[in-house]
Amino acid sequence: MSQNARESLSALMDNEGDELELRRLLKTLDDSPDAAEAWRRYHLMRSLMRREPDLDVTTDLSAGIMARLQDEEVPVAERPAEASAPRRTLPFARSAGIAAAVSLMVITGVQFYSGGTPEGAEQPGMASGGAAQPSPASLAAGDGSAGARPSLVDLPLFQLPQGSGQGLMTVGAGAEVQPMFMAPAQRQSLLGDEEQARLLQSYLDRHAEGAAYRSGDTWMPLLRATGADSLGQP
Amino acid sequence: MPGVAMRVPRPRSRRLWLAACLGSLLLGSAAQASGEQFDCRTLEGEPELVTAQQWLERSLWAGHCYLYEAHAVRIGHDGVRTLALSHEVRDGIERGVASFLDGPPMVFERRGRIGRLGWAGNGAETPPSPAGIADRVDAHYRLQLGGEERIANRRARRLEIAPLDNFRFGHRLWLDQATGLTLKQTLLDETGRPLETFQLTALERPRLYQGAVTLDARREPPADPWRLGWLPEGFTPQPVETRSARHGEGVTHRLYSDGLSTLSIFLAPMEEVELLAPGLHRLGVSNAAVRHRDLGGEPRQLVVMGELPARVLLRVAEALEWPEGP
Repeated sequence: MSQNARESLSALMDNEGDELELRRLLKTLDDSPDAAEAWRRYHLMRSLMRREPDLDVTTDLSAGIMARLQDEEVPVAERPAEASAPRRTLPFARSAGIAAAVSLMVITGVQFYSGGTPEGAEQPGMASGGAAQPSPASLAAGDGSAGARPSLVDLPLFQLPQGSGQGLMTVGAGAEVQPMFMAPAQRQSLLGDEEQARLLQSYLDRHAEGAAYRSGDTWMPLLRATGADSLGQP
Repeated sequence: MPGVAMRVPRPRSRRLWLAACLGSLLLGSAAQASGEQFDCRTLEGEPELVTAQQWLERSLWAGHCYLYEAHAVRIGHDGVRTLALSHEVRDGIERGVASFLDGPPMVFERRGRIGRLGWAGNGAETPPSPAGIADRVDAHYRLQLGGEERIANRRARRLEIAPLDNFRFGHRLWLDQATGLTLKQTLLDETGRPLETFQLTALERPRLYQGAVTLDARREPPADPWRLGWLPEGFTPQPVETRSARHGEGVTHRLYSDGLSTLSIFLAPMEEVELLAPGLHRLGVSNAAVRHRDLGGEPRQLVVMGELPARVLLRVAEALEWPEGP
């Protein structure tokens, strides 16, 4: 396995790779069975270090990923930009798709569930584009249940992942992933991705309220909550 | 509690806190004669700040004691958001309001008192958070005072706070020379890369509250049947109780902090709550580890959440024990 391929693999495992890098690596794997074996070995080592049970070390996911890349239609308007695009300027949908595919490999055995944009959900975007989702959040005092919640795109889980390799990705793999340690009946009772995100946010709201308690530095933790709530203990 | 050791406060912090309490009595302000308040006027007579820890403590008190309006930006997972802020104190109770100026209108409000750094009970010391944090911060972080910079058209002093282990993230603060208020702060990941930045762009009329801010009541610790088998060193239980209309009474929330980093534990019987998928989730800069485990004789959902490396949260979740359980 060449040094270049190793570096590409390392970047992808750290979520820092781009599409070109992924294609290059996949081609290398096609040409060299040894490299594919090395790739699987890397992920196995990584999974073992994370003590992930139920490792699937036999499946070659690279073919599926390449197929997914090829099937994915490139939006016409984005082609010119893409031709000269530097790293990390891929349109969100494509980069998220690649991210999801790579992440699926990285987390073989799927210990991790990561929520993502469900099909049909609104396109995530910057908050400034949220005019279409008016989410009035009046200054509700005291009642945590009062006030409308911001739209789903405002929830952090659904924000554009910063493709700068933070070790963990927000990917749309949730539906394909079978969470571990759950009986079938419990699995059925799981909420959809969208509701999962809202539910997670309700935990983050309580965490943010608690974190804001600890010191005079309240703004940063406070702003991670949903807003519209009166936090603290008057 | 593993890794929990209350350190003896340094004389300076103790002095500042006691002086503030005494000041409240002498000045006959709204202070109750119980030492349950911090007189903000104490900050006026403070000697020149020399050490990084003194700067940190000053900034924490200033955050409670200064009244101001400000504009700010937050740079994070959702790009750049602009904010209007106000902080006021009325009858010893703080009120902070933040509202986003772009995107969907969102308003945050926090009312409250100065927090304490621990539960009461068994003679436990419960110092106000600013003093307690400054006293113990150097056990787990290296503090370094940097040079002078200009933030929001004001002179600021940079303070680097780097973790001494890989169980927590670092911080970088820019503190106002005149007031001690935090003008800018950045949360840094393990590689030193900014995860989230919060920065004032204009600070208007900062003025010291001419009175005392009330400290939170001493709270008795709850009796939990479970215990944490592992926590990063320096994290101690925080006297925080939160509620959620969505969670109802079914979800128990406990908070742990080393003063700068914080993690939450949520525990609930699976039958009583909406279920999250087990695994690791990320929400903005916050990570959450979710596990479904048999604890205390029934399946329970365990959520460990915080702005910490994900593996730390997973380890905390793995190590939680319920001695009576099977």
